[in-house]
Amino acid sequence: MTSSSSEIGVGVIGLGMGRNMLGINYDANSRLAVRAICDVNPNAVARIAGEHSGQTLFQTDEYREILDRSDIEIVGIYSPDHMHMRHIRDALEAGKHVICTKPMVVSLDEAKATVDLVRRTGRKFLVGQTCRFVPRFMAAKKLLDDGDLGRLLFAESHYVHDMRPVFDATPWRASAPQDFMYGGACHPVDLLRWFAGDILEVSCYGQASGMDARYPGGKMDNFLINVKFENGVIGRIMAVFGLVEPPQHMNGLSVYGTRGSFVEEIAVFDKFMNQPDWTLKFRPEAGHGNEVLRYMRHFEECLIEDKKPTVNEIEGAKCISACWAAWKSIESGQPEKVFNDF
Amino acid sequence: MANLGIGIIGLGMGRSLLPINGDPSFPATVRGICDVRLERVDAAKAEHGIEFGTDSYDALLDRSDIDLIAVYTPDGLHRDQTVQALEAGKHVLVTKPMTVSTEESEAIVGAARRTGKRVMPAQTFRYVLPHLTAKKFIDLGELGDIYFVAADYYQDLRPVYDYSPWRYEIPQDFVYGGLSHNIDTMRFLKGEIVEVAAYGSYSGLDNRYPRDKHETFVVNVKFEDGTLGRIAMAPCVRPPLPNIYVQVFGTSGTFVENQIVLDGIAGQPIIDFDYAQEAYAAAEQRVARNFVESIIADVPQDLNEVDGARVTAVGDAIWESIGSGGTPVKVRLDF
Repeated sequence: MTSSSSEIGVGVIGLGMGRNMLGINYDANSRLAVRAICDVNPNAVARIAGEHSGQTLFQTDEYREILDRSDIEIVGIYSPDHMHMRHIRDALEAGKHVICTKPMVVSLDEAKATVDLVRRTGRKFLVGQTCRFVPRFMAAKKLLDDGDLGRLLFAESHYVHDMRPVFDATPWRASAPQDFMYGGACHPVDLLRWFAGDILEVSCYGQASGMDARYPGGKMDNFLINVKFENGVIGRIMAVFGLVEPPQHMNGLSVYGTRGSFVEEIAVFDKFMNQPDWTLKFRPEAGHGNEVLRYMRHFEECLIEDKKPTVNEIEGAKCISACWAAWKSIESGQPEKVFNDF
Repeated sequence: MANLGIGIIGLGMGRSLLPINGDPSFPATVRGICDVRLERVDAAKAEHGIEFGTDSYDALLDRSDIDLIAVYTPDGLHRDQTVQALEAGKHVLVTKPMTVSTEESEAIVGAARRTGKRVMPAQTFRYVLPHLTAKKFIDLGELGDIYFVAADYYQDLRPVYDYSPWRYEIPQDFVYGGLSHNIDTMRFLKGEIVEVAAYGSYSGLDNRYPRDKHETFVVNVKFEDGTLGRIAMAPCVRPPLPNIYVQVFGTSGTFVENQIVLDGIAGQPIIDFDYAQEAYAAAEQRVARNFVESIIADVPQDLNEVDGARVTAVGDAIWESIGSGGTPVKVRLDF
């Protein structure tokens, strides 16, 4: 692909998960083009540039050099979780639109600051909550939105992931360390919010599994979160990161409505005589690449048509706020209200 | 070999035990049946060769050829019928929930101690194949140290209401009548539950059930050793899941209902269990068999009245937690 004036330039900070953004350069239907890549590890920059040798890519290990570039309109932030706030602030203040991987940030104060920054700068902002771009969850959402499942009775989601091999690939998660309430639980929290709306209150138990000695002893990595939604529905979330890889979908969703039940990829509808299992089959997708490209295309559409992204800074902030309340519930031993007034 | 006489009261769920009369390996015989609906009694007598049938519980208890009463009536009747049977010198198998309050449990625990007769709550979900399998792997140590257990109960209650209208008429309290399944399964797999934090709601899938009650529950639990777990009950359109669905996470393996993954097997393949298809009655009969064989061999049965009381006490704590807005509540264990 060659640069043209109709293209929208993208710069990527963090080439672990962020390298998935480069796939957009091979999508002939997209005007987005990754033009700059940055990572603190120069070897990673060179390696990724080498893998995309047909592309013209500005390469750097200093993210501010990306923010200084006039041919970059969108910055993709894929740095470790605790660095997001700084990168979000600097990118927005540099006038860039931002796509930030999950978790948007790692505290309620940071969530409020992000919302304020987006308002003040008027830029567009999307949180890369990949679950909203997974086909089986998109299918479930369509069935609920179309009324096929009826009124929502109960919903639950989970994220269960054996982190031992993940620590091998991204040691910062053990050494920083990653806070799995934000970095992990944000997936099922956001997924459930997408289906059931704002979370009013949470009640959470946490536990340190001790499954991997690289993760700090005593720091919790397993969470059981019960939730009350503003619409009166109750639900629950399991976010477990110290465990032997379970024989389940890593991210799971069950949605129960007055007309049907949807569990993972199986739906049961009252309106079908004898209620047969209705199993949806989706094309297998490896990694998060397709999800990243889907939300990039959504973001592109929002830019061109001047719309607000679906997973915007408010959605991101409410998710982080629920995670923050869950930590507070663990500390207080009591249910805690969730701040949603962003 | 000894052959005990069984008398059944309540031929709804209680009919699950009738086939033991056709099982020569079963060391007991159903010799009397009782139900308020005499047409049910007459039909069961004819089908299973039972000599005595009645709509009078007193008449059933008067029979000297009956050693054990199986109580399968609506939940709120269990206490009185169990105590009455104990005082008539019978052992009692009582369907879950044993009771619907700790006050009721105390009456049964007291009567069992006073009479020296045995009580076994029929917690059938200990006896279904996936849960027996999970327990086996836990006991063998294959899963390592267990640090999380879950047991969830999803069921379409609409057809259940159709054939047992008392559940919405009385109505049934689902913390005892429903969650007792999950609670005891958790106790079976991991031990005593010492704390719960719960939310409840009325989802209204079937509005025959009273609107001012709760029938959907999410409960986080803590066990004696600090292990966490959770249980849920949700009435819903027939879910594509087993009624009671268990998950067990250990330091060297994960068990999920019909699948297991073990660190000890290179590459951590998912191992599927292909359980034989069984009717629910099979679990009821396994419970009864354990009770009868334990009585004959004069050894403790798998569950007794203290287990039943502790299951109900967890239910009490769940209600207290819901009533206090989800605050964690300690569970009474001393019975």
